[in-house]
Amino acid sequence: LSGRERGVRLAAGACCWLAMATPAARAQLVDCAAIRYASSYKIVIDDLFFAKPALDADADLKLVMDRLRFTVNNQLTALALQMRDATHQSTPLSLVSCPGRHPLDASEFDRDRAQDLTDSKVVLEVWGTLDGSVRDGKVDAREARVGYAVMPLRFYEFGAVDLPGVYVLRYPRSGGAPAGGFTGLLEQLPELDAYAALGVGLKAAKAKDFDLAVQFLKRAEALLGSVPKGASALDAALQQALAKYVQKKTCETIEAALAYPAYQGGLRLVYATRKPC
Amino acid sequence: MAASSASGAGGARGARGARGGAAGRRVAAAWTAAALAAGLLLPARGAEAGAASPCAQPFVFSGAAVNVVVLPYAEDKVALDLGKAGRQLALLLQLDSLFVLGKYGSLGAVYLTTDPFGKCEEERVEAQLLTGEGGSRIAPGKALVILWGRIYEERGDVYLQSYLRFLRRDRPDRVEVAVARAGGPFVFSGRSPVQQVAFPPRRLGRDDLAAIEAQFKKASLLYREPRAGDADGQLPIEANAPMPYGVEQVRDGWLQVAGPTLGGSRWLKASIDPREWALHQKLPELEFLDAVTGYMRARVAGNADDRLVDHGGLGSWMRWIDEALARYDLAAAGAAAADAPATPCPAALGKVLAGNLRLLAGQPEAAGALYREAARLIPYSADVRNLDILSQLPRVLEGRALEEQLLDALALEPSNVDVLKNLEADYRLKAAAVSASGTGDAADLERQLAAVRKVLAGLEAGPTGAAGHQ
Repeated sequence: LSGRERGVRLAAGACCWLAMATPAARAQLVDCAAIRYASSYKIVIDDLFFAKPALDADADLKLVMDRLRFTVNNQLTALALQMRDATHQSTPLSLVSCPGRHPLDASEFDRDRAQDLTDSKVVLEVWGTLDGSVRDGKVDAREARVGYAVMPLRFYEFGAVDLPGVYVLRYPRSGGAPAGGFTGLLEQLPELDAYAALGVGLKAAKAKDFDLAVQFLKRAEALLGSVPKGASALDAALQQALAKYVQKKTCETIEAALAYPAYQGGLRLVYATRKPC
Repeated sequence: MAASSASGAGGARGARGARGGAAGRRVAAAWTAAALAAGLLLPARGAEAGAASPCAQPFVFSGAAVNVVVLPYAEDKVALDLGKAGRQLALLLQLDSLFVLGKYGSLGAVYLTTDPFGKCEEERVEAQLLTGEGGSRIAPGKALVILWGRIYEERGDVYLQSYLRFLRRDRPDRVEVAVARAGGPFVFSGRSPVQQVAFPPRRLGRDDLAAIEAQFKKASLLYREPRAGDADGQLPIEANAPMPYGVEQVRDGWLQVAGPTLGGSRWLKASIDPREWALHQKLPELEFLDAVTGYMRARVAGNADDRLVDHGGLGSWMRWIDEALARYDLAAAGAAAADAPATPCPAALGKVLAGNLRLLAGQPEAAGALYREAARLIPYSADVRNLDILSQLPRVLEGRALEEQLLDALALEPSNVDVLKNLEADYRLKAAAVSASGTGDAADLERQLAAVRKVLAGLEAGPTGAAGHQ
């Protein structure tokens, strides 16, 4: 009976950042056929990418790249493990690796592309960028950036200034330990779980899979709230806007479920005598 | 015994199919011998047994209450030969498991070696050990604990990321509380929120890598006597068939082992002297493994209704589990970077497992305190809230408190079947009470009961809502 007993597993370890990074010159948001194969919700993992051609020879930045790969791959595996227990029977979540694909910035996710990807059930797209300033052949001010596009948010709220749906977090973190450097890259990236949950919740809500939507929106709300201060490089105002948005969407989803005649799930019991918001 | 033989033949068929010819027959024969040996080794002592086995043919001791299977840590960078360190570490962890976890009794500890392609994937191993027709398979109701991970090197430092999964064959990890009332009994149930956990990465220094190699060299030797200078052979860990052995004696960090491929009784240097290398401080997850193994051991030793059976050892097991969890919390706090984000899942799961044992041992208040700590760590979990509710039975049955709390949990996960069934049980119980006393709103309770059953029936039938593509 339980969805968890019959649930399809997220493919743990089946997909990850590969050992090579995309050279800067080839970076682009190339089409990725695998996105359209599975009918499941998906997390798309793009390539790691050097922002400038000269950077790929920098040994320190290569190390940062390896760290980033190790951490993100581990986190994706951990997420897959969580989803073994959390996913709804009809909602497998799969990891899709897209070698050679890398967005340059948020503008690549224009309305059409965001819609196309959301229609393909992409709930989150993740990429990494290694950057630094090059002067006289020397590299300094090294930086790693992890980009997340919460695709349903990007599409459904397209143009909303405080809800861009594309978030780029910079490492070293501004609030991190002074001597830590890139230490944060070897710890967890707490935003990944939160954004994945948010993507699933929003997409499920639109698909009128209300139970799953509420479960994952509530999860996203808790996870976003648990990102420790200073751990996220995300602008505080954006973070606050996102938190408020998740709360609002949760309420709206519950109200939509209750107003939807075909819905006969548990929310009807919970809110038989209670107010959703 | 007969079952072991039969399943051994099944494994032999699989091996022949994969390899063919004389080599395949040799593997098949070795497999059958291993399965037979395993059947003899473990039940005879009811204690612990170890094995090394190829990942492609994962092996467990069917008779063991708990099998701990350690996979080689996969290397994350192809350019460096970290795979060697990953394999060496896995053997050290397996032997450490035999040494440390043997206290729970009826333990199988298995070290898997990588296949020719260097891969050993947990999901495939688990599937084979639960449902495959291999020479050894987890017996119904028995437990499997799998430890695996990734290893990464950076300028001489090594980073380890470990994962742990635990389960019983054909038995979900759940607890039940039966309330005896007129028209009953009314059974309320819950389950652990997760049965696998990812630990944060641990950093080991350059000297740790050297220590792994040095300790591996000691651990992979067979000794005539439990003394460092008395080695006279090599543990055949890279064989292409399972290599099981039983533990006959434990003495000062040494295990006396015997098995068909060891050529008589030998000694293994199983424990690492903390003065040489503080393995457990470096890898706090070993403390968590200790607690999970103890938990599963206690559950397997329970009766047919999954209730704990106090056979004398239970008190010790529970104490060891608590101590291991406390050590984990302490060591994990020490191992984490100061500004690292919290990783609440392992800690929450530890509280839940300890809470489950308290609940099953008839200590609901202690269980409730632990569940509430877990709920603070993972507030989105309906399962944890549900377990907390169970710990309040039957006290919470009066009035609408139980219903309100169950609805709070359901608000977090509206399709949680355990919560829904508990809600149904609550309404049934109250309907029975109204029926017996003749007071109260029977019609209203019947309406509520019908509503819950409708939701449950909908979940049985399939997903709710119109899950289209929008």
